[in-house]
Amino acid sequence: MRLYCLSDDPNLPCFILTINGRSILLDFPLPIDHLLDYLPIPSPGCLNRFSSLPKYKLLSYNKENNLPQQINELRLLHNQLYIYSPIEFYTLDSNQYDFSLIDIILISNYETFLGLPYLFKKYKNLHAQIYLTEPTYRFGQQLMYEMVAYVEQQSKMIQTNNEWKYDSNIFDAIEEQQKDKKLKLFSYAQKLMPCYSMEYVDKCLSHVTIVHFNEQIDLYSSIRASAISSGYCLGSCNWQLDINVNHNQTSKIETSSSQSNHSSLIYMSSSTTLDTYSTKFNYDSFINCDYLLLSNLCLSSAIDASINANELTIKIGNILNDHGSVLIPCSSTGLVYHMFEFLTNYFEQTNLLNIHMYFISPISNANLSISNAMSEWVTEQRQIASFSGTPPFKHNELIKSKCLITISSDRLDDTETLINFEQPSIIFTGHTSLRFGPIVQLIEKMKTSSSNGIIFIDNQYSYIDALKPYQPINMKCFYIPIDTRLNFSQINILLNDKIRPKNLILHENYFNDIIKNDKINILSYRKYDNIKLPSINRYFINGQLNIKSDIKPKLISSSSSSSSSNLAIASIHGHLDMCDYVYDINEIDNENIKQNNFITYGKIDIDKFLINLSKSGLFGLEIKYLNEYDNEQSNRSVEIKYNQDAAKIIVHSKQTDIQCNDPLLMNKIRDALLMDNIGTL
Amino acid sequence: MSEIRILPLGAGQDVGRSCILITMGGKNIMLDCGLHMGFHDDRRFPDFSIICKDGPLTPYIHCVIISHFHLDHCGALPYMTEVVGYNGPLYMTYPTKAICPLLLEDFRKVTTDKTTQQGPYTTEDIKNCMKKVIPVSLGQTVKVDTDFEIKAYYAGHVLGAAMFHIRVGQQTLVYTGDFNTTADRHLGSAHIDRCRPDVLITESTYGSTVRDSRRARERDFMAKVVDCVRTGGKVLVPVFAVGRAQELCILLETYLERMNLNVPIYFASGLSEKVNTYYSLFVSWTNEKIQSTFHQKNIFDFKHIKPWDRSYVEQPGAMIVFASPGMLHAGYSLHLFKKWAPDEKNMIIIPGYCVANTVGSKLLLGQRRFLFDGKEIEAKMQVHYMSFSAHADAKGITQLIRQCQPSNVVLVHGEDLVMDFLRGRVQDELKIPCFKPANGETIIIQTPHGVPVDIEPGLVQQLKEETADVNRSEKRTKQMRGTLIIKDGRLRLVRPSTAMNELGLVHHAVQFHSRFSSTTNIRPIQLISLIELLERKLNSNDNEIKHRIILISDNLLHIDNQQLRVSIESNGDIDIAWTLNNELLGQQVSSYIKSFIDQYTSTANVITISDSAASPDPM
Ligand SMILES: [Zn+2]
Repeated sequence: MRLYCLSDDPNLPCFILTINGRSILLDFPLPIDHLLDYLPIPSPGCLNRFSSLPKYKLLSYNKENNLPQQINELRLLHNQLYIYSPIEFYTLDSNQYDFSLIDIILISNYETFLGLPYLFKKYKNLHAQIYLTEPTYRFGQQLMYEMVAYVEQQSKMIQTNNEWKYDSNIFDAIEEQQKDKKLKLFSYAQKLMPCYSMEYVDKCLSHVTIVHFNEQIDLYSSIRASAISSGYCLGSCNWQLDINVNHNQTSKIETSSSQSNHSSLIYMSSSTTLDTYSTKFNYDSFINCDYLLLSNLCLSSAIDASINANELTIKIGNILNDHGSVLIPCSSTGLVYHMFEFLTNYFEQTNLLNIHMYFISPISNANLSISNAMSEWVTEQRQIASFSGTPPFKHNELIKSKCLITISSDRLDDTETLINFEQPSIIFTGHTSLRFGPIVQLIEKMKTSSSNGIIFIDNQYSYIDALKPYQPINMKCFYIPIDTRLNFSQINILLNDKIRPKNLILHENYFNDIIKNDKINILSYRKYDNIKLPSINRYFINGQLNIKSDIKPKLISSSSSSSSSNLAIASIHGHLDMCDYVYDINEIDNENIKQNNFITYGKIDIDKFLINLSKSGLFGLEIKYLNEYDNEQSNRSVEIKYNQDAAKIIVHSKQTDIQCNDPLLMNKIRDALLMDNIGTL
Repeated sequence: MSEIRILPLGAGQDVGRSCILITMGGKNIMLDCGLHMGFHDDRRFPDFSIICKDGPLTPYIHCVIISHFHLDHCGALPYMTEVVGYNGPLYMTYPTKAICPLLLEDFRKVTTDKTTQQGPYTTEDIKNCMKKVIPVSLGQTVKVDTDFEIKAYYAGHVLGAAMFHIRVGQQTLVYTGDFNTTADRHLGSAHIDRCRPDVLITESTYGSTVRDSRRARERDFMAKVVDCVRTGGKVLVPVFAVGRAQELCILLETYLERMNLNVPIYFASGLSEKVNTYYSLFVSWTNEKIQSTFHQKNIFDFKHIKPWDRSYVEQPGAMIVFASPGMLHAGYSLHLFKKWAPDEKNMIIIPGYCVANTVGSKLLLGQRRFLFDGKEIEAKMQVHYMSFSAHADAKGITQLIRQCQPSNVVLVHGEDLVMDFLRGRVQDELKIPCFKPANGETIIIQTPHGVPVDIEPGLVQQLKEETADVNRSEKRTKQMRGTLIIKDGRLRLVRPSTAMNELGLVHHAVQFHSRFSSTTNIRPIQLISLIELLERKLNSNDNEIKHRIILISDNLLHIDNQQLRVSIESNGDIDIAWTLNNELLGQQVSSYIKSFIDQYTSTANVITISDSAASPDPM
């Protein structure tokens, strides 16, 4: 079993797990850490003040070297270099590995598979099945649509070409000129690709198999996967892989003991023990697992989501009381659902009336209706609502009462909608990088008034860097991250007191913050490590005993002190046939065919033996006791002679020697020895 | 030999009152707990006294599984749990848990005597009963108990309908409930894995019919409706409030816009319009098409279909009314039937199955005169039957059996004659034993299974090593010897040596010796000269397993890894020693050596043993 680690960021997990010759890709998120290197681009119809920024001048330009004088795609703002072009992306796949060999793709949640359409675009021969839950599928699909829509809008606003990065002369000249002030993006500029199209979203999603929590999916004859709720968002899961499992449906065997015969690997991604809105985190089946692959912990461990939530309401209250509007950059799915209800409650409690919450995204309506159709994926409390015919979320009510207004139009122009925002208002929109989407022109509009405020609840980006291109701004600015994922103190408790995995696999960045314990073997990885997972001894293999005749077990009064319970043993003669990872033992019931091959144990009862010999017609035995010094009768050695030296038998406590040159006589002695005497196995 | 017992308390050679008691691996499981629409007395409920004469059922039933929300599958549930008494686990799917109480409450209202308040159960009973329900999702493996798990498969039929796969230890059983193998306008088709259960209990409602295509039926339905309303007639479609009602509403909505028909359509049921919202809360249980478009358009948000009001009954002119219940045994549909039946302009279209004894069933059998509260009514209206019933037909049922590959088939939920037909087909065409127990009749099905056993990896490894260089057929004949350790009900198969170690048993070696003295020898026999003899004698036959003969030293020779030793002792005696289980080999070798010695002694003077170089070098 090997684990190939493709990402350097534990919050951007991506692995290839090889088990029994099968390759399983665990998650394929889309890296977006480079987006801050871009200039914001507003939606079509809005003033694009960034278009007039000074273009980057190449100092090495001269008539001879054929270099351009200035580069349209690079602009300077506040003395900082930015890329002025539609957003492009890179992916985590590496040339070291042929991704078309992947058999199975397991997805944790909708945040961790947005890169997948690229993979299906790049690898024409990739036919892997993607396993994910229904909410992951539906929301993920919407998030991909949103991304495609946003980037399409960008391309409508600006036309650029990629010469600056593909022409190595130009690119080298830029790098030369920037020296130590290079953009982070430069290091993989040539790997950047335009956003995938809907065609590849659909192509990718055509490989999807939808699963439910705790559904046992037989991947191959020996591997069983189950998605176990992680509590983080609707449909988010941790994957449990049971390896060498006996799940063969024709054999119909479950492990006959509590001690499991298979090894299990848990791939843990974004999980939370907090009560949110989705099915709660379930780790019962992870306890004492063989391997735990840990990823996606809380980004800043000092954060306490519930304290920050209170802080957030106070800040919002202050801004609204100051007759300002609040802008909250956020993802179009997930936390927002909770936020709408949470804030409405707060407004009711504090008597803040007629507050309008705006939810702006091309997918806002779709996401709200999808979330309300996910009755089986919410907390038990919300399920109760579904059972009585009420949607699990209050969106519809809020929309009816005008508390929540969705603007699904992907296009807000300066003239109309923006002005019609009813005050006081809270606006939820994206993208959280502040580089594209409706948020760009909203910041431009709102930043001039100091009564307005922008509150960052997402902690993926440095909010200072994100806001930089918009400076100067007058509006208030708060950073109140709400990250519900497990933090180090929570995970340490979970690992050491509850789950106790035999092997823990984590990114080297996590290593120092995890409390060590000599019972847990920790393996840390970095990007492109290919770890061989320590093999686990299998205690038992699944078998199925097919016996036609009754077996007659012998009761054993256990001599070893440890076991006090009754115990029986029986010898089994049979053929062993492997069939779908289950060993079938077919007993041979024909006594004649049985190959005699038994082991004898215990001590000879001399008296019984002598009686048996007489019964077989061996009279006139000469008996001589040896080892006189041993008083214990049972340990005495005995020499028995028959008919001069026709046969000589020496019985020791652990061995009996029979010396005889007459085969018939020898057989008689053997039978007399074994009959109702020493034990045989 | 293990067995599965099946006892129908209802739905045995009958439709209605589905309630099947199964016993497998020591667990008693109740499948469905329905009521019979055709009866108004005690016979409407299953006879629980078969399980226990008196007192609660909890000690006798390990779990109850409800397949879907139709009353003939869940209608007796509150009676069973609250009146008779049952507190054990009770499973149904999410949509069933949501919709079931509405139908139970509707039934309670209809059947409770207005003046005496005597009814089958109370609203409180329904509430308490539903609290006991554990909801399950499709595909999810639910552990009921150790070695006892259930899993729901999609059954089509109605929203939330499920087939259940039940596993107790090694025994498995699939209960289909009601299912439909063809997708319709709002539901998908039933699906099951090739799970090869010991027993498949399948419904057989339409087990002897093969239905025409859905499209043709829909066209036919619309043509009839249009014909009737064009002449100013009223169309009554008795339906159950949830299920076919939504299917036909979608059909009507779609057609109406196309046909530009301006006739009022009403929906009359005891249930609120809320029923439709359940469809959008559990969209994942609808068909593919609805699932992929629901975030844009809610198909269950009907534009043209208005809720019914009692006053409309006297309203003149054409109208189309969907009225519950579907079998005309009570409620709105019966009320409207009484009103409209005498007018030949009107029409009734019965779109689903009607249980025996109901007005619907009688009407379909040709009865036209009915006595209601002492008044005779003659039905002059046009009567049509058009099966929109979401049940699989003969083809669908066989298809499901083929998919599932059971070892035995048990038919329930069908009429006796239909079952006979279907049973013939299952036995003759599919070659699967098929049963059709009557209510109260227990059938026993043998389920041959091996016993699960944990094998010590070393045992398998040892066998693998022993057979590493032999061919396939020899591998098959290679015998495995193991020791079965039975402790605390757990079986382990280990190597005998492992068992000895674990149990603290001490090996007692038994060794056999033949000894030939060398007194007559002039020169001692050299072992190396014996090797050629033994090779020739023991290993010459091609078919037999070869023995490994190894010369350890000048006076010690091993055969088959010390199973047999030949040694020349200091006094020149030859000792042949072998262990237990090698008697045949030992005696063979002894006799060869004996004759060799005899020959050697007699010709001692002639033979010189210098040709040892000619014998193959064993090392
Ligand atoms: Zn039904």
